[in-house]
Amino acid sequence: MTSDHWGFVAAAYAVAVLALGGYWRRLVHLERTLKTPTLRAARRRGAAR
Amino acid sequence: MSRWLGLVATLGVLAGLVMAFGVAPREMTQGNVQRIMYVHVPAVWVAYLAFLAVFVASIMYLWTRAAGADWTAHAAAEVGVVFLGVNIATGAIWGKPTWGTWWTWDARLTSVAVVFVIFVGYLLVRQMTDDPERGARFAAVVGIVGALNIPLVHFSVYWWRTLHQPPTFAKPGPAAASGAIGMALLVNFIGLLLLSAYFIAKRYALLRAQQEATA
Repeated sequence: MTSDHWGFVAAAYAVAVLALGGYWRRLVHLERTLKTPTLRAARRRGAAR
Repeated sequence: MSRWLGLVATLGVLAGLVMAFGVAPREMTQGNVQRIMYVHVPAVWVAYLAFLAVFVASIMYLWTRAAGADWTAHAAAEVGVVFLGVNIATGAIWGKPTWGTWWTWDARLTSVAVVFVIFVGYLLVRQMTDDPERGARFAAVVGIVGALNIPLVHFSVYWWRTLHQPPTFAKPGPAAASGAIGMALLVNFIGLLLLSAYFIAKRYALLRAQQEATA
């Protein structure tokens, strides 16, 4: 009977979640930084009218 | 579109987790630690496909100089690096309890590390040139060279004596996994494939938006 090593299983899935979740957060952050100047410009244009 | 793909991908990943922990049986020789396979193996398949996309898009870019081909290659390379990183890290975690070591310089592990370094280099090459067009051209060449290494990774377990086991699928003879184990592997592959498609679509849209913002 082999040992199950559940700690290693949890670590592997945690690493995967951190890497994939971290990349998704990076994409969301990039999206926000790209949108922010546009929103600001639109607001400025709206205020000027 | 991207939002829906993200939702479907999340459902696919959750279905994969249910298959890995709720449906697939405890493996006889390794025990439950073998469940790492359901993230380790699909992650490398997805990375291979992403690098194949880099290969095709890079050739198209060098041929046509279409910005869309460069954005596709760039997005796919970034996503491929993330998934290959997951594959390498989970492989090291699986290696410790089964092989007794986190890492060994055998042919499979070394060849996969070489591909990882090449594609990290691919992403760095883009940052290192002042002219984006020149950076894209250099990156396309690196991407093609990197993708050509993938058959070497796959067949390394046959061409050299390695600690790593032979492939589960895409090998001579019947697949090494069948029944619930094979099904769990397939569902996890589909889940991660959908997730990679979502990431690539989102990154592509961001690269296009960045280009439009600077133009």
